[in-house]
Order: sequence, then C-alpha cells, then structure tokens
Amino acid sequence: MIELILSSAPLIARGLLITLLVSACVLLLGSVIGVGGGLGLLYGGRPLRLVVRFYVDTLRGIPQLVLIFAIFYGFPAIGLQVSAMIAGILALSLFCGAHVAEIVRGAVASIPRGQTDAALGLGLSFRQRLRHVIFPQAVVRILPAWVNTAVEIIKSSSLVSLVSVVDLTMAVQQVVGRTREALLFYAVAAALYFLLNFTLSMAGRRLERRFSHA
Amino acid sequence: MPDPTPVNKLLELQGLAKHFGDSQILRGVDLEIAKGEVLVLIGPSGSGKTTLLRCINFLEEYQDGRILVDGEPVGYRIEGGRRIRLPEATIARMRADVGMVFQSFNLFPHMTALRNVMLGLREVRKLDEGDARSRAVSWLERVGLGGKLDSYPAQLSGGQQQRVAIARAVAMEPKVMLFDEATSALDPELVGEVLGVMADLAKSGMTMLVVTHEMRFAREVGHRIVFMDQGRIVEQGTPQQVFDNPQTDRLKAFLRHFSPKL
Repeated sequence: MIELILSSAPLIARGLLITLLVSACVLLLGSVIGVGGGLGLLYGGRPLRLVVRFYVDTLRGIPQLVLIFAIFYGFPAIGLQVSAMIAGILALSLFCGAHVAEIVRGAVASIPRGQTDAALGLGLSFRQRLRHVIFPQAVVRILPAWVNTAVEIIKSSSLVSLVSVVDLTMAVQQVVGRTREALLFYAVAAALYFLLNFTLSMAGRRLERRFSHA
Repeated sequence: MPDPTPVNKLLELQGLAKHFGDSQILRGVDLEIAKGEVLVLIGPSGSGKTTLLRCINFLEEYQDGRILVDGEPVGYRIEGGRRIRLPEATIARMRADVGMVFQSFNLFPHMTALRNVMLGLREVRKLDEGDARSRAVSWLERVGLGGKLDSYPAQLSGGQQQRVAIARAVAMEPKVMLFDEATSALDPELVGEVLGVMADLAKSGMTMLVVTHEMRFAREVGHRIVFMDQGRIVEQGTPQQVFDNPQTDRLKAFLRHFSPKL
C-alpha cells in the first residue's frame, strides 16, 4: 500500500499544486473584484450601484459549475478561446468576487457613521479616509467571512476537474482509474483538502485574534 | 474678489435653511460669530442645534442660505443665482479649519490616543513625523493626558476619550471649534473634566460655538447665549440677559427645566 501511494505521489502532488494555483488565482482575482464591487456598492453613484448589485445577486444565485461550463463552452462560441484552466479561474473568480463584494459592503457599513464624520471633520480626503480610518477597521470584520469564502473556493476548485483540468481531484481520479484503489486514494484526497482548509481556518483565527487586540 | 466681510467676523450664517424630506429642521437662521467669541447654543432637543453645527463643516448639506467661515463660503458657491457645490478638495480644506467635537467622541478605535491626534497633522497639515508627534504630545499634555499617549480609546474613560477628541480637533489649529453636546454621553462625574478643558480653551481666545445642556457652563464661559426652538433663533443676548431676564415664553419654559441647577 505504501508503495502504491509513493508511486502515485508525483501525480497527486502535481494535482495538489494545480489546486493551490487555481485557488490562489481565484482568491486574488475574486478579492480584487470584491473590494472594487464592495466600494461600488457603498460609494458609487446610482447607476454603478445598480450594476454591481445586479452582478452580486445574479452570480450568487448561479451554481459554480454552470458558470464554469458557460465560460468554457460558451466563450468559444463568441470567438474567445479560453483554456480549461483560465475558464475555471475566471468563473470561480466571478463567483468569489460577488461574495467578497457583499462581505466588504457589510463590513464597511457596520462601521459607525461617527467614524466617517470624525474623518471628514479633520479634512481627510476620500482616499485618506478609506486608508487610515475605514479599511483598518473593516479588515477585522472582513477576515472571518473571507476565510469562510476561501475555504468554499478551495473546495469548489475541484469543479475544474469537470472541464478536464488535472487538479487534485482529477489527479486522484486518474490514479484510481489505474490502481482500482478508490477508497484509499479518495481518502488521501479528502485528507489533503481537509488539511489545506483546516490550516487556512487556523491561520485566519490567529490573524483575527491579533487584529482584535488593537 | 474683494470680500466685504470684516475680518473679525469669523463665522457668518445668512438665512440658513435645511429640511429632511418634508420636515423643516432649520428655517432661516442668521448668526455671526466674532473672532475669539464663545457662543453657546441652547434649546430643546430637536430644535436644530446639532444640525446647525453639522452644516457649518458641511457634514450636512443645506438647501438655502449661506455659510461663511472667515469669509469663505461653505459647501456651495453662488454663480449667476445658482448654487454650485464646491469641489471635495475645497470642502476638505475648509473642514480642516473647523474643529468639531462630537457627542459620541468618535475616536478611531484602532489607533492610540497619540495616533488619533497625529493623523490629521500628518495627512492634512502635512507635518513630518517628529513635528506632528511633538504637537500632538503637547496638546495631549494640555488636556491632562500626557500619561495616556499609547492608550487605545477602549482603555480610556469617556471623559478621557472626549479630551483626546478635543486635542485631536484643536491640534489642527482650526479657526473655530464646534462642540456638539460634548458632555451629554458622559457619566455625571466625568462631565467636569471635559468642561474644564473647554473653559480653558475659551480663555485662550479660541472662537467657539458650543451646543450644550450645561447651563452653568453656558453662564460662566459663554460670551453670548443663543436660544433656538423649532429651527429658528428665538432669543439671544448676554448670559445675564438670557438667564436672568428671559423675554419669550418659550425660553422661560425651557429654562424652567434647569431652574434647580441655576
């Protein structure tokens, strides 16, 4: 059994790396979209707010797999060739961005109005207010929900295996196909996903504690 | 453009009017404050005092009338009979010259007392770290908090927080200071220390517009008392005139609530 695992290890490791890569890209891109979208919801003019609101509500109501298929199979139909990996990252980022936008909006909205009054009263500009007063307080409120989203995204990243990206899930599937050891290797995959997410949750909890001291 | 406003008129309101939807909050307020004057605004809650203060540094928009701080219009300029909102940068520059102290302190909870006072000095006044620090320290010492520089707001009492908030506002060296019920959220035993700092500022020649329910403070520190009710100035005069010889029934009725304290 040890031999079996060892011989499959390189393939599984490469799959794990792809899962990490996809998740990291999605979280990065999704967070950028989310912060932008959240600020749009909070401070944008009415047309912008409506557009972002539509994006957030729509994307949160569509299954991620449908999004991935729509981009992977749909984009070529309008003349845009995307690789499976890019399609997966794009679809999940749009989904992640919608969630993060709502998290950012909620976090900033929960900061008392008096904080903005005080910052305005000092003569701080919009950017200075965000940077020195709003964001430092919002981060503490964003972090727990963001970590939850990150965990969801890592789990959802396994969906890219359905457009034949060889991530951890797909790699394990291939190993199972070759070895017929389904129980063993799916257990390995489960353990790896769990460890990844557990570590992330722990790190999040520690950061949260550190921030809340200040 | 030469401004006809005399230099000593630091703050001027002309026919200030403000409504939220259907409810009229300010119904044409005219008021002038001279340099170094301490004006105390009294009146029942809902009379528009707080809104008036918030209009002066444009935390609230207003629909009619004019506000001038040191001759400069607040929020809007008039061009060809139309009001045009001033650019944000102009509004921010004006706000930096108008210090405001809030009922609920509004300190930045993620910064120490020192950093709270330094923020505006660094970012708005553009002082370097050393100058900002020494100015902040000297103001915190002046309000009696030289030993609390590195405390976070949550570690301070309400009275201490409000004194930090005053230091934060005064350190900007504003032309006028606005106090919006600065002691209303404090436990009774902490009111005195904050009023003491305010009286000290008044004595130093700071121009102040104070909204308060502390009638003893109004009488002792105020140069002029203005009584507002239902969005209008009803009566004004020296503390002696207003407190000892009120003319209108509304002011008499209002003062009756405080009679045991006077």
